[in-house]
Amino acid sequence: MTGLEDPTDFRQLLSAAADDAPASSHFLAEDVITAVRTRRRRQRIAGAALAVVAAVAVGVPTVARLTGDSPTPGPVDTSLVDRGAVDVLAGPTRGGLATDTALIQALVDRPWPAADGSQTPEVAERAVAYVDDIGDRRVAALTAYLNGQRLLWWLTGPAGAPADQLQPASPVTGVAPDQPITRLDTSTTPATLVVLAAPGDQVLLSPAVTVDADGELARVYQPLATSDGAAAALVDTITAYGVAASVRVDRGPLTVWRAAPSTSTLPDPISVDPALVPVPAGDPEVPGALLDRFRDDLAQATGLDPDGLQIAARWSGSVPSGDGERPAAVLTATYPSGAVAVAGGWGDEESSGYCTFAFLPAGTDPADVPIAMTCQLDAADNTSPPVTSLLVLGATEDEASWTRADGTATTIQLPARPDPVVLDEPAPGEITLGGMAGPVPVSPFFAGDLGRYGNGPQ
Amino acid sequence: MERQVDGEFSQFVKDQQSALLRTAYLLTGDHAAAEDLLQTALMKTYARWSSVTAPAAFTRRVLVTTYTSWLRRRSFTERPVADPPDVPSTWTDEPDDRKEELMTALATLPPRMRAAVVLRFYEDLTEADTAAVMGCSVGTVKTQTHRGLARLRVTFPDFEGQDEVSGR
Repeated sequence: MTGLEDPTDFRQLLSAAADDAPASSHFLAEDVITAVRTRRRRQRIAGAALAVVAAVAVGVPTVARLTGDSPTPGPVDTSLVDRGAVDVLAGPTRGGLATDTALIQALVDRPWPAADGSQTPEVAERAVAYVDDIGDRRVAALTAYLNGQRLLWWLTGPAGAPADQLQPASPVTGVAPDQPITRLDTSTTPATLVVLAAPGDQVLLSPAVTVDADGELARVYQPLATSDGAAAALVDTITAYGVAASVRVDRGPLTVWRAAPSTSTLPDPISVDPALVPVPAGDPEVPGALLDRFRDDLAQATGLDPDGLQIAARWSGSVPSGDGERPAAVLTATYPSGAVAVAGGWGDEESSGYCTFAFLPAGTDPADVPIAMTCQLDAADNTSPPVTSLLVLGATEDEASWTRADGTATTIQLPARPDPVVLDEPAPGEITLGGMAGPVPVSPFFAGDLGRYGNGPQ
Repeated sequence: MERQVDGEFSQFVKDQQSALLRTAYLLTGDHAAAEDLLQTALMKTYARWSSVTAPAAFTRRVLVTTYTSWLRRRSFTERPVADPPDVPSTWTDEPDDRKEELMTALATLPPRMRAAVVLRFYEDLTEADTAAVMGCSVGTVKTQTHRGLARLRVTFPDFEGQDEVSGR
């Protein structure tokens, strides 16, 4: 049997592939139950806190502006959530100013926003979980109980500012302090990160995914100075396209948390004008949707400014689809390490897609490298079969050849000007170009782990 | 009452976890994503446990609908390509190579197409049952399966038994 002509074989092959599924977890049910209960508890707390937030929005204009910027939880790896009972807000004040008793008392005495016109946490129910000067910013995390609910309120101001001059940096929010609390204040550059974990925990930070000179991607976590479970850092890998940082918390040998930090508002995205992207002479402007996608993907996880990535078009034109042609391009971008990202794809008003995405090592001029890309595009309404095409850039001869799966050889003529050639057979995995020493891969795809923050939001 | 629910749910997870994880893996092709997908589906199942009469079927449906709804939430490395390129391959008889080729080929299918193929030929569901799990019509299942097999045939040129495989 050499293929899938036997339905039994196909089913057996699927079953064999499923054998590679991850192993079962003894803790899965427990994790699920804990996660659902935590979510329910947070929903109850959030409901109670809503009234507080509403009152803040009316009474304190500064906070009203930030109400829409309520911290957005990043992706969380809930499979790693701690199974023990911890309270990350319990215990004495942490942070570099924890011994400043006058400051702590002034923060405790500071009035909280009222809920329902009258309800504020009693002084006896308030505490300061954290206060420190981080860079040129003073950051304080105030906690309180109100009607049995745990509340958290972040204040910030210039380093050295007294308690009454710190400004609300977030609305009052309900919290379930059985998991690490993170806050990344992006209102300043660099951004200010605070992590509150349990005493004894080690906090680690990965500012961003890095692309090294070989084109290899890595996300490396470095331990932060952590005192009683609290840590702070300045983070400069924030762009309008997202937060590249990821926070990890280790408890002994076990990682109990891995997530993007909760983040205040991001700056407005900066549009890249397709007209400013260089294209080869005679080529049309690159499709904006593909450019936007490429730009976002390059910048989000690496925290790099796309303006510094030297985005250019190796080719721009169109690729055939089931209902005509769609604008397409092969784009390149150079990372600070010298590695080059090469992505080819299409984009129209509604969507975009990649046909290839690969990284080239530093020192490679993409103009010197033959690039082969195949796209298979349906009609937009799926009413006609997909059209497979092959685009070859950088060929020194006018022919491309390959060996089919059945062992037969085929050769096609390449157009004088690089344009996709429609194929009436499956595209090859690699082709041979006259004058080139070795085979050229067709549509290589990067399959790394660029977006790893945790396992995803819940 | 809560303790009884937790006991029933824990037993259900113990009994079904392995099978559901295998399906999740065929859908996602990634260990971490499969675990995350299953956990998400089980959270929804647990949250509705008291009203769910057929938890295995319910969880399977949530698994599929959650998977197909993840399309736009993923980072680019996980993002399915709307119109994926061909991923031609050389067929071999080595079992591990064949599995790898199959997973690579499945990865080229859009989510609903991939779900239809997995449910029909791994879960061995009828078209009607597949439609129920996917929350769509039988006609859609037929279309998605037909196109999915056609695309797989691009990768596996020797595969000519589409009617045989799908004829149920």
